[in-house]
Amino acid sequence: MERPVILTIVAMGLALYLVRLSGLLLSRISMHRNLENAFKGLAPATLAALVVASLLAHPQELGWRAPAAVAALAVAIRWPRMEVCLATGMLVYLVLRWTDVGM
Amino acid sequence: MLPLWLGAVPSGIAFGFTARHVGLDAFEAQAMSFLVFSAPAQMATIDLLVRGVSPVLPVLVTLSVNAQLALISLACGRILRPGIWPAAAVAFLLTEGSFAVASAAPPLTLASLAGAASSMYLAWNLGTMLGLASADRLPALTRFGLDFVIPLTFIAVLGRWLREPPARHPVVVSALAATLLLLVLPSTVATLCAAISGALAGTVQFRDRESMWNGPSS
Repeated sequence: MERPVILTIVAMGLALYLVRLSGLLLSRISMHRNLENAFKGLAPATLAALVVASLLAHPQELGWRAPAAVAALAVAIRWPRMEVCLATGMLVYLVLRWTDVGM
Repeated sequence: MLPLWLGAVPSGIAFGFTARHVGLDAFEAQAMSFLVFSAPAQMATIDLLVRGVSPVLPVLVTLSVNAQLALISLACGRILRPGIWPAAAVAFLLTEGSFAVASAAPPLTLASLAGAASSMYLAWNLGTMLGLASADRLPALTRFGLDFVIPLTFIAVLGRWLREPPARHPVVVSALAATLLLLVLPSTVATLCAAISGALAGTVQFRDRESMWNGPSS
């Protein structure tokens, strides 16, 4: 791994700090409604895209990872606890992998 | 405050453990928790940092998955009207979770927000430290597909969002767009384009809703 990783981390922290600070200091401005709505949708949309990209990055394991992801999502919607979702997803993934089902 | 700790410590452990096994060293992983202090951003960028992609992409992903923080910050600013120096101090620690906890016992004050936020910051960093320490003692777990924990973490956060109907449109559109775009574009470009298309699609649905949607606590 290249050493500039730490510089990237500093840049990430700085960028996020500016986002956190901007609203506190610019609280008197009013944001256009469409822009506000786009902000609300951007975070879930980004995570959804990252999940798909992660699943498709391992095509040889798609038959194990996709069902596990669906199971984890179903659990996450029903029980909003991260550890339950992680445990369910990993359990389904490992069972499918070890039994070689789905490939 | 207890719910915050119950969420932050295990999540921090998961982050530290995963970061170490995916390839970040302990200093880099702990530095992320010290400087970035955002579970979704940290989990989302571990893989990008390890792969050595352009620094621009991790920064853009950090901003994308924390877009809601701009709104939270704006809401805090409108209520508290802080001066420059108090704002500069509290901003470093501001999260959705700490805002939600501090707001639960009105009136919201700078002191209550700072207390909740600093408590969560300590819990998150303590969890990261524990995760890093345990990762060094359990090296054999790497061969069990541990990297799958990263998308599962996103799914856990998505699940909480999907309980609120306004988030469904952006998620579905973004997932479909990513599936198609990844066939023809490099992964990083496809991911960003899909996220933007999802956000734009979401404005159509949000526009028709009167109620304010605040998203989940992190």
